[in-house]
Amino acid sequence: MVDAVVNLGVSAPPRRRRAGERAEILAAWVLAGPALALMWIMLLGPAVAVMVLSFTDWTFGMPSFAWIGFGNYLEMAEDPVFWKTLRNTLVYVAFVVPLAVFIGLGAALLIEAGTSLRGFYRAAFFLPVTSTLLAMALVFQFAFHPTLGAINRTLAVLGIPTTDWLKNADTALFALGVIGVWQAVGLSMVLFLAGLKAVPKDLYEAAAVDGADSAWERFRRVTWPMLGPASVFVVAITAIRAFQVFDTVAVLTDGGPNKATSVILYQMYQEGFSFLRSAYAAALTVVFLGFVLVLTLLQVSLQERRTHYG
Amino acid sequence: MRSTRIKPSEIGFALFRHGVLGLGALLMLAPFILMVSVSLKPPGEIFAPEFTLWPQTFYAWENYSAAFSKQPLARFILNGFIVTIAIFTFQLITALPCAYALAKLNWRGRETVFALVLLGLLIPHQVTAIPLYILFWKLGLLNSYAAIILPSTISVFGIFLMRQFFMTVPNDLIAAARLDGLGEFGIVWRIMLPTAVPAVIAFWVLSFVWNWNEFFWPLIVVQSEHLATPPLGVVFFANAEAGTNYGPLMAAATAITAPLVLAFLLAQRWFIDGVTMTAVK
Amino acid sequence: MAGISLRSIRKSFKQTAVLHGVSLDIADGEFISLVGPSGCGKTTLLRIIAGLEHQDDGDVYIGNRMVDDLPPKARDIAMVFQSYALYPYMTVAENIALPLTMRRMSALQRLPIMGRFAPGATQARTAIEQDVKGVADGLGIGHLLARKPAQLSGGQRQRVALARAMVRSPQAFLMDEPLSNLDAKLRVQARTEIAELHRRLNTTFVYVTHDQAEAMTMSDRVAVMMGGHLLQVAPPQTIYDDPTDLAVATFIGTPQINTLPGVTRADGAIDVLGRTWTIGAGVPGSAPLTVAVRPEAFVVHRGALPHPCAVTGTIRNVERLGAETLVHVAVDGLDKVLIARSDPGFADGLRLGETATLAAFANRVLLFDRNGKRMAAHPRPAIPALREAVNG
Repeated sequence: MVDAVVNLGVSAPPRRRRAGERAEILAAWVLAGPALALMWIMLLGPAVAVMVLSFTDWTFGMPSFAWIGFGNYLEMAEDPVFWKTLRNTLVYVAFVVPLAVFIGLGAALLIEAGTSLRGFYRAAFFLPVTSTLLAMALVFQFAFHPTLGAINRTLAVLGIPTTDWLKNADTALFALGVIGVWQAVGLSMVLFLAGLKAVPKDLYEAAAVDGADSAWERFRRVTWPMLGPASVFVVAITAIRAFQVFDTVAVLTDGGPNKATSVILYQMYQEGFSFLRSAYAAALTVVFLGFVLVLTLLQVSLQERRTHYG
Repeated sequence: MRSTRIKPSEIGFALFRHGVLGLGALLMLAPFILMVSVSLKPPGEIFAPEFTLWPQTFYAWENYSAAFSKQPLARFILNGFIVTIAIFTFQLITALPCAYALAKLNWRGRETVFALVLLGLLIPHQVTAIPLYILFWKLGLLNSYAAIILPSTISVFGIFLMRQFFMTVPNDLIAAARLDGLGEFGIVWRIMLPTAVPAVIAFWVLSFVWNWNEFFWPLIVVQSEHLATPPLGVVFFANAEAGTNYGPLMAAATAITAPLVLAFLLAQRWFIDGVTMTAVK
Repeated sequence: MAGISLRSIRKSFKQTAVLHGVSLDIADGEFISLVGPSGCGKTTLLRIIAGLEHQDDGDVYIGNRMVDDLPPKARDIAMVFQSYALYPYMTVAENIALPLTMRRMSALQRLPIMGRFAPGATQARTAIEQDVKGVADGLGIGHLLARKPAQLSGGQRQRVALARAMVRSPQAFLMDEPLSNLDAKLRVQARTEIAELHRRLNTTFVYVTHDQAEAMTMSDRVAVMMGGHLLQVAPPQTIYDDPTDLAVATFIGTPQINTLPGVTRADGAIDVLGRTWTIGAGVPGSAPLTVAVRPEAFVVHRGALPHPCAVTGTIRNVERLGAETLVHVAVDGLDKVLIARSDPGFADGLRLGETATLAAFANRVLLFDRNGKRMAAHPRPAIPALREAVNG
């Protein structure tokens, strides 16, 4: 009946595991087992497989493959399309993140600053987060229509020059960015609202007693420092989501015109599932994963620092 | 500050607040307004130079019946429910016991399994697309409900969320249940599940929103129209109509967006709390 | 009903040993309290009896049956938790009924809706409802059965927890600080009620508390635990009057027992802070020891007096509690004040800063050796010359 002999120090006798403990361990494995197995099959295993695949030359359906080391990555480095794709993705992220974060912050502050219509504003800003992006992308397509679209009609009335936003290589990425901002603002607003709720009310009273009672002073001395950890998180989650942009590209521009809106996930989709170059697409996936991991690690380390000193 | 008289500066601020937020809300809602408005209009009005919010000729019946008859729109929506319900059922059945084991049982391997869950949280689901596509191809499962559903049957996020919630359940409650005669499975379903209802609802809301809207994976594995999930259905629809027949297209978009928007309006607090809970914890 | 026996129970968490071989025999129907400071291992011991923790070594017997390998539900014991551990989403009735439902009804009968149609389900359910009602009425919570725990006061929750424990007539009750979440007034009342409950049920009670008043007032015997050791198990009065260990003596009693450093003399008496106490420690030579005197074993005298077992010092504080007065006296050579419990009438005239002598009743002075173990003390007749001085 002795399962394990664990030396617990000088005086402790050899330890025998009780039936109750064995039952608990067995129960734990039975309870966690299905989830653990599925996690390996559907998530962790494929993540490992994609890395392994990226070192081969396999194309989908082929009976054999060869190990080519970093061949796919070298090909990627020499491919101008890859660099354009990466640049597009980063530009898109750099466009969407600051706008979504600051508009979200502004909306959250203004909503919290008063009491009337709070629920309505919150719902209005949040609605795009839950709506089916793909259906809404079609609405945007209509709104961006060069002659009939609401956007160009409005701009024409205001005397601002118009273009076919989604077909113009200079503007298409930013037109998609507008949709991205539209969808991301609600999330950042809600997260900031939660952050604001967590600011203890007596801090404002303390600040007021200490003489910081103007709206700006209260924001600068209390709200902003207390929102520190939340804001790092909002930036990170918005960036990670922006990095995964795919739906609008796939349905509105197909990466065009002339690769102007080709982003990394779309490129991966095309290589992997249109051209069936599985191994090269796997290498693109690894690059994508790398960026997401770096963003997450950056967030975790920044958040810890801000929390300590915030 | 306590005076009941309203100061001019307060009126000014209220005007500013409602002005800015009102404009913002209008911009956020504009696509929805446009979508519904166009879905009610005859083609002539859609292409008319003046834009009106409400149609002069009410054309909703024609647009919506066209939307539901030209493509199996009802089928897409039904598929949406089939897929989201199946996925959430599996997610709950696997995540809840695992979360309980991680939060409340003592076993060697617990730390390792939890580390794997955290690792899983870092991996965007698109990363698994190519290997899973190959796996389902080998199994002959491509273009099936199974192919859409299986990759989402495990939710590391759900495990994490429920585990965090279970950590806050007092140990005494579990001890009491053991003394009262419940086994470990009984504790998961009779004690932990009812205690964790708010977290389960948040989990359900997020799972529903996420899987209803998911486009990337169904686009890869589904070829047949009758298997299309709502977003994929919209694309089939848009491609078939070649982007000119805006009335029925917007009607279709409205119909596909409606379940989520209605659910959101009915249970706003759950949605927002759910999203916040996932983020803050 | 059954007695409980513990045989050299050992338990460590990671590298920290919390129980160092605890043995204890609890008689059938006895009310025993496990008392000690927090972290002494008393709750762990209770949870081991319940089967919620697993001992590393040693055995637990309930009613002469070794239960080491039995899960909690098979041990036929009930437990009342400090937090009450009521299921928040169940009504009071459902909370109390759960242990019966799990025991009397089959898995089929327990199914949510279909279970109602299973054979025998209705009869079983009715019987359970009756039992629940009976227990609830007995505890005066019969009118609360339809409520949820969140709608109850602390005292009511505590009764629901008791009811859930009582309803299946277990062989023994284990209670883990069940009163510590109640306010002071309610706690005194609940103390009496639990003691009455024990007399009525005549079942074994094992009661864990850090509150010595609870332990002393309710128990047949008190088991004092410290640092994972069982120091003394005895009836309350014995624990108080006759502690076998200095730690027990200092833990039990408020205000704390006074301790003074002493050294034995060649003639058998003891030197205490420069004075000679005529108490025989039975150890010749100069052995250091601790002299301990309960506050009520000191008598306060004004001025410096020659007395065979006394110390003289300055009055630092006089606490008038109404029924009694506590006199704090600072003595040279001692870094803490000594406290004497005095009659208010007598203490009335005492003034702060005044010199006073604390004279101990020789037969109530306790001696402890260097390791804190109790030593025999032999009160000896005072030296005649000193007696004269006292009387004069």
